[in-house]
Amino acid sequence: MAFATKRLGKELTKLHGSLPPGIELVSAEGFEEWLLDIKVLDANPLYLNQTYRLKFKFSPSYPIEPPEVTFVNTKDRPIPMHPHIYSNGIICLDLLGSQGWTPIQNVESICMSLQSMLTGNTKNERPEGDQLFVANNRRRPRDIDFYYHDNTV
Amino acid sequence: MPPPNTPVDIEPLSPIRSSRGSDPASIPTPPSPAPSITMSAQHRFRTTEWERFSNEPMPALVPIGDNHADRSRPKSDDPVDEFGPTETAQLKTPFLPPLPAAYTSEPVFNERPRPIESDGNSYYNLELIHNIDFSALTYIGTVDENLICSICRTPFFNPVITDCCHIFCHSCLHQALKHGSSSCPIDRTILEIVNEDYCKAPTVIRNQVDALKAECPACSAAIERSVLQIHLAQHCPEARMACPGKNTSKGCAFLMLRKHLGSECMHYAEHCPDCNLELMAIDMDHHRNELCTKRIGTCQHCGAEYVEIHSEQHLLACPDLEISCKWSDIGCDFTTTRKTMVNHEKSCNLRFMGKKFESMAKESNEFRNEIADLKNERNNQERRIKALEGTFKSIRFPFDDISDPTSDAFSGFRDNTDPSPTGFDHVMALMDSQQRNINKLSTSLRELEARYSTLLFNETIQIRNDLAELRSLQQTTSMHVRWLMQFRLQENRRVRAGTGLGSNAGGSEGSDGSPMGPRRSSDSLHQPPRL
Repeated sequence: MAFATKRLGKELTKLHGSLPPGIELVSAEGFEEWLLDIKVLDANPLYLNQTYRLKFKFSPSYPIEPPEVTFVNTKDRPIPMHPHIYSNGIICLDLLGSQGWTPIQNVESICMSLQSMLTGNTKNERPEGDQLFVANNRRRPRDIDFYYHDNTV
Repeated sequence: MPPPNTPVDIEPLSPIRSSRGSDPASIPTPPSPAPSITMSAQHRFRTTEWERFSNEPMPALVPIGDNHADRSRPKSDDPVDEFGPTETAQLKTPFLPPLPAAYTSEPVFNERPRPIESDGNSYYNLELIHNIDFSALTYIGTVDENLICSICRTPFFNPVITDCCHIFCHSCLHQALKHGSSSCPIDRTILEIVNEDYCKAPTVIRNQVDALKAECPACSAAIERSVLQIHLAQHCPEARMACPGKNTSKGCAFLMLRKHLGSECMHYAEHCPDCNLELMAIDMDHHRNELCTKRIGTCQHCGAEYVEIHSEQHLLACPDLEISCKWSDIGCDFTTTRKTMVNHEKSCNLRFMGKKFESMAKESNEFRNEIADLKNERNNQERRIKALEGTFKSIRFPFDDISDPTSDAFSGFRDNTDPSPTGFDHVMALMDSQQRNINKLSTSLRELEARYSTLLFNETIQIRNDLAELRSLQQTTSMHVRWLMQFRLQENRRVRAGTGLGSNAGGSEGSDGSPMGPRRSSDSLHQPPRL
């Protein structure tokens, strides 16, 4: 755990110091699970005036392994509508998988990637087979084999 | 500071006497203390002392190299010896502060120590290897972003450079390649550990990171990173080092801090003269000055007795200590003993001023806090405005200002002008604002132009590259064709020569046939190639 802890400690001091617009740290107790809020800053009508909550779960081998990032549904924090985000909050994005991940990514850069992923979206839809996946999935996001086919995101 | 679990006694004598009566563990009867009670008291002491420093339960510290443990233990008239070897060893471990966070483990003895110089104690520690975790060091000041490994976010340690010219700490890159994907974390160039697709970073980089100053993990002094090991081994007062008894016949295996170093081994049991607690001689000073609740001191001002470790609290309340007037910071230089100060305070000339002064100080403090809050808020707002401006700029159409007559430029102009402008002024102002608009437009045009030219340039690069490739391909093809033609020509010439010879030999009618040769051969170019 030591390696992950040290690196996350560094990131945390940086996050406390300055954050890019539209990203807010909600809670970071310990070095296993953090919550952050993100907003889409441009006028995309799909996400106008909405705030979304992200949950980061770090394994002891972070940053060599990617963290587990999902959207969380609470009373005033919905799950954003996007063709690559399932309604249970699981995100299909290659840089969160072990193939697309590189250890130079960090919490801030992931948040910014997700912001831009939402900004560029125009489709008000869920992924294909969302109902089935949400009903049947018992696996953790890191164990799911996503097939990354869409390069427009 | 008293230990947290002891009640603070400011009253000099009575509480001690009563506690003495109630605590049988520490009755000062040196000849034969009941062994079991001594142990529990001692254990309690050690645990408290540990928790004071580290806030953790005390681990079982055992000396390095178990074979030395027996020899290091003092012999004979020792009542605690009855408790068996492990417990006594544990009880008699000298106290050391917890290991600093930047250490990966306790320093270990070097297998092959350098010969020890006889002239000074400072060389003893060369036998110890300090295992410092360089990634946990605190660096002084801000470190250049270019010298920070993008994997661990700390300055490079043992930097390596990849084939694609990116620099990482050796251990970071090794881990990333071993457990992650085998490609460069920055640009995903394929890298293999087995192929050694990376090598030591240039010396310039190494020198730069080695010259960075870091806090010594033990004494917090600012030390250049490259000499940290030497500092710990030879100079740092807080660093652990071997006991001077190690190389004597005693063979003491305990570690100690350099600042506690004496000329000989202090690792033997001793009884505290006040509370009769048995502990190592090396810990005695610390125990008597900071922890012993039975050591009684006498105040040199009022003659009262108090527990030595609470002397500071006593001084805060001692009636005979000379103190200066409460309003000394606004000009009263009167000093007297504490018990007579009450009278002075009643008549001090500055007592009214003092009250006013106090309330003003309080108020100014409040203002200061408010200003700090406001500053914070302003910074936040500024940041927000900047962010908004950024997004606004990206969506605004540059010609808005003119096409829309109600835009900012016009309304601003109307608000700013005199309420009753003359016609001339009005026109001038209008022209002025137009001029400004034109300027704005031309700059945005320039920007657009620059943007499009770079865009165009980027796009044409690809085409240009393709073109170059095509050209080179075409050249090679034409070379091939030329070569083939040459070949063909020679072939034909040879054939022609053969038939020419034949015709010359066959008949004499071709007497003017000599110019025919070249013409025919040139004709042969027009024949379809026979392949």
